Amino acid sequence: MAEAVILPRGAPATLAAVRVATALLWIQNAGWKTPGDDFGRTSSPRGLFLFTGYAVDHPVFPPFAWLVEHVVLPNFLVFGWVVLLVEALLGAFLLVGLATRLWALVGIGQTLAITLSVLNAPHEWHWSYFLMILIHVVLFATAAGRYYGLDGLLRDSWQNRWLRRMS
Amino acid sequence: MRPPDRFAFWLGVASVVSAVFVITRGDPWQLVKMTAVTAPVAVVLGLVACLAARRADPSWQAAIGAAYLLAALVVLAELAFGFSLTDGSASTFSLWLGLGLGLAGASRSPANRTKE
Repeated sequence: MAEAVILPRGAPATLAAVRVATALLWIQNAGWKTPGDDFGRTSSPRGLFLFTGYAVDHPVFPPFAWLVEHVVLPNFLVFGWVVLLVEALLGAFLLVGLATRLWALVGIGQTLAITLSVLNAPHEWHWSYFLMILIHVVLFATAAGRYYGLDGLLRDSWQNRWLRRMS
Repeated sequence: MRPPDRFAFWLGVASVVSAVFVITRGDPWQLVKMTAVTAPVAVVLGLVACLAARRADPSWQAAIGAAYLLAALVVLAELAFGFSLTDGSASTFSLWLGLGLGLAGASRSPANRTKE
């Protein structure tokens, strides 16, 4: 039988603060995904289109660079919307701590996609992306939504085993 | 306060505080895009959420949650169809979506259902 884990005093609040801060990261960065200018696909590329193009101009992983060049960039409006919605939803769900482990996994995936695009671009600090991945790993491993989050309020009432595991 | 009411209260406080971003510009301080339209909405809904939490009223909390979700959908529609009503961004959409989910979820907490 598993032993109950007793967290040090202050640890639950700290985990909640880290979860909320991570949510604010995604909320703020969703803000510059702008469909109004085709996500930056203009005569002078900027925004999401510019950063996505770095995957081709400064490749990190050649198969990913190929995927970006031949699939993502030619269909950029669709992918722009996918990125906008994924990042906005990441911010929303992590903010209130709902299905936190699921969204931590999504955050790892989204961060990996970003890393594979910009890691070798000029003026990037690689540790930014490694730390982003690690913070989502922590949110997943600690089930951070159970502390001062909706997962903590609702989890005991969920019958679905998969939903309980993802919270 | 019971835990779901406390949770709803702090979501309301977060909404009121978010209006401060109407005076910030750019990185790193503008976490959420707040405008002359969205800031009053955030303050009003936030204050009502706090009141609903103090009254320990899950039906009010659910209604305010629905209001946030509707507001989030309006912003999303603006982004999708290119009209300007709130001049919000995807950050505004994300924040209000979260607050809406949070309040709706808190209203459905088992602690609230035993009260019904």
